[in-house]
Amino acid sequence: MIDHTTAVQPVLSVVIPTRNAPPSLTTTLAGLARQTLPPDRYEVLVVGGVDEEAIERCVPAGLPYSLRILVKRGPGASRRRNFGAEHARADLLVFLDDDMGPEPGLLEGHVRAHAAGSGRRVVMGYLPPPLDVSGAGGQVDWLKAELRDWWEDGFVAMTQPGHRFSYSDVLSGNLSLPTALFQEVGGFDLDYYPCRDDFELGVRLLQAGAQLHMCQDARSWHHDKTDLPRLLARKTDEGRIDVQLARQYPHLRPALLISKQYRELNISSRALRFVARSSPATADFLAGLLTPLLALCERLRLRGTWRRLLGGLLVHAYWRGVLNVTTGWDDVHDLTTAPAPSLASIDLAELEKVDGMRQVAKDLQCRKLEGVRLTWHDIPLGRLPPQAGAEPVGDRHIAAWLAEEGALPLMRARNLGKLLALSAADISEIAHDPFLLACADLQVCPQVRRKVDERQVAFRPEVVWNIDLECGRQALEPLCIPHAMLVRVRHNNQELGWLSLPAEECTRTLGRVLYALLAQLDHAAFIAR
Amino acid sequence: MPIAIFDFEYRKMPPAVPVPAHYTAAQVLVRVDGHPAAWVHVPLLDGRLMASAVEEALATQAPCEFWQSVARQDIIPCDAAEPDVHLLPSATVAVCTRDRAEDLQRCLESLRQMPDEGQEILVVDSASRTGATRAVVTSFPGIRYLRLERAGLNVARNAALAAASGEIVAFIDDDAVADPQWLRAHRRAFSHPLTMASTGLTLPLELETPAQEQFEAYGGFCRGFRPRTFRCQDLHPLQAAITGAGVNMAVRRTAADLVGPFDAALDAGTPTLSGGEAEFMARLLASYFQIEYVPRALNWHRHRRTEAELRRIIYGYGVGIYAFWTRQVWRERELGAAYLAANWLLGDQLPQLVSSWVRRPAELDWQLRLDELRGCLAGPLAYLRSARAAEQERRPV
Repeated sequence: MIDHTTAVQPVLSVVIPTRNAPPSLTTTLAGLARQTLPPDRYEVLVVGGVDEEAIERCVPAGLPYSLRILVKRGPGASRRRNFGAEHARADLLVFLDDDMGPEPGLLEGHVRAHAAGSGRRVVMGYLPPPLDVSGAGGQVDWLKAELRDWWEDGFVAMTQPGHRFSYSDVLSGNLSLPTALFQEVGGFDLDYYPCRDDFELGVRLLQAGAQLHMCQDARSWHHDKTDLPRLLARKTDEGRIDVQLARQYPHLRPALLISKQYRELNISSRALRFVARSSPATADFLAGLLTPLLALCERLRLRGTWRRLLGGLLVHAYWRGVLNVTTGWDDVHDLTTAPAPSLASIDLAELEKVDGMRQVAKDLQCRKLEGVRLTWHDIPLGRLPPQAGAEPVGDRHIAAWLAEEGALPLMRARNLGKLLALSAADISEIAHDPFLLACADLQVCPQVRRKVDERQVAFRPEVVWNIDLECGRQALEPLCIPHAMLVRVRHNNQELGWLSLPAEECTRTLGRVLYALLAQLDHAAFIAR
Repeated sequence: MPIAIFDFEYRKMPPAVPVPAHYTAAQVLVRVDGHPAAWVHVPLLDGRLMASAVEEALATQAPCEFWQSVARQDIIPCDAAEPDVHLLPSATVAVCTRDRAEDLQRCLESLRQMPDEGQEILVVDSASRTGATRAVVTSFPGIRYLRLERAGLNVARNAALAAASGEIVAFIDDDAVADPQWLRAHRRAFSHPLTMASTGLTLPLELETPAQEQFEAYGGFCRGFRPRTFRCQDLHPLQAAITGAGVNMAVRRTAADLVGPFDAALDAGTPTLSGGEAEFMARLLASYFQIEYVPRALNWHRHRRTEAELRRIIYGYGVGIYAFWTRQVWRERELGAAYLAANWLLGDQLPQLVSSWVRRPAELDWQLRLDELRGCLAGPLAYLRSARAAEQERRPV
């Protein structure tokens, strides 16, 4: 065992699990020697699965940091991660895979991200996308490119201000967390093998109140060597492990592919799934036929067909995994039923008060809601839908929502609030407010489909037939409709539902119609926008 | 019937603006927080442009994004923290020009109005026949001048990429005028490592003649006010022309090393007349890189004034797009081009040609549609001829 242990207590322990010490381990270790963090502030533990000699052959000469080589036999990288964590001397753990190319700022990025947090932070480092995705012939390898983009999309999502971190954001390839937190949740669960062990850790970390964070400065290049056979094998493993996750954590079920695909698959994929269940051998034979077709599509540059074929193969592989460990469709059905998520309303009128946002933040912190409905007094604005396996809704998410899609509904609601406080005479003036009208999104079209300034209202013939609706600009004047009526509300040609308006008031302004719309519309339908 | 062009900040419009008598209407760019947000057609009242008329036009014409930015401005008073300008990639502005000294003068003046953030300005003179171009450039101290003896817009673009010192190269046509924020918006678009190109919003500099109005009615360069990211997962590379036009685009300098340079056999100065940037964008998409469309990168283009020029341009677009597809089939083995071409011809071009013929003269001049179609038919041969010529040019004498 090489041991350059120094007297100084390190702040970081880097744990690198490796099964049989591939050549890429040398790159990883060499990259760790070129860090901006002084070498006496971190130690590196390489935990091998076979023997020390193989690892020692990979160690470059003259490493400036303290390196320890340990051996833990048995299947699974997480077994070695747990073992490494037990021997770590520092308060902060960094897990790094053995096929990484760390950038000089990697470790400093992790340290800084923790220093800026609360002490219960879990920091995901960034794996930048490689620009070169060419295959053997120098041409772009579509599978490689799609996989790269899939990884990158995940990281881009994590950098968005309103992102709700979820168990599936925890990726063990470049991850850091306080050693105490890791021990508190009990480390990796070795029953989760050969994949999803990091996701499962993510579930327990979130339950323990950890804050997930993504740090773009903690960068490391990743040499991904996934090809189609590996991808399909991995997908089968994921199917199997998802069943395990669904059984152990019922609240997670809606987030798992098994639930999503159980209901949402199209006919051909359903057929594939059925064949995978009734005759696995036939399904494998069919999948075997599709694989060479995939290469042919790529050669002929048939992008759409290629993507559909790949999708089909992945669905097949996943369901082979699921069906291997379930007893029948009833069992699968049970695995897709989940407990109801916690959902509550938050009134954003609070924000008008002094220190309003802090109050809302405090309220959210206590209630730990999976989803919230946002209102302005009694007017629905929108919602942050429940997201299984994600962190509870916080003020950060509401602020981000307000900065993006929430701004317009809130603006409308505020205007409508003002409108309600006005007398009938004032209302007709407000009805000319172009902002209000443009925000209306109310499409008004009579049965005879007369175009009214590009907004159309449809009236059911049995309710109102002889309405006197003037064309053009006059339609923006108070509408005189002396009947109770039903209005069909559509947005972008998508029907949102019917709205009933009582007959008590003969004169309505567009603004009143609008208010009724917002107040009465079925909440879910309103959200469909 | 000439149309006056205005540029206003929302809620800061003067109540009435006198407009010269020969204009019949106005086309107004409305900004929110200084960023372009809506482009509306407004009738004039007694030779004046009224703020209330603009408001009314906004109510019916402004896109949803406009109201969203208005609401955002009201709810969150200041924009989210802008990244430090010095952290953005360095840039070179490249103007490829040939024998248009007067336009070039205006273009360079607008580039001089941009805040100095260390950018380089490079004029590539594509074998101009007179010395006027050089004279204009030398009247602007600090602007680099590069003379090429070989004509061809794509040849000039490649020369610009090779000579530029900036990390990204922003291209603007010599007959366009840049908004002061134009370059910064392009630089900001390159925050993602996979982004290899960006395109911006181009509006007409003037609408003085029927030909210019017709060009706008034909589609113009406006691609809307919503930022977009184009990737081959959502856009077929052969439809790359949708991403934007060469009049307003920026390219990461390393992109040419990754997917190859602009094809010298395409675009102005060759028999193919256009299509050069679309073909380059197609290669970027096919190599799984991203193209950003940033409406904040605004410039103004002076469309051709006479009908004869307009018809030549539209014919050229037809030639260019088919030349680009021909190259894709020939060199990149993109067989989808044949399918796309047939689809476009049967589903779009022919029906439109017939309907515009039936409804002439109310409909957009059917002659233009015919010109485009004639161009399309000439495209494949034009590319083969052009490629052979480019090949001979490259061979050492």
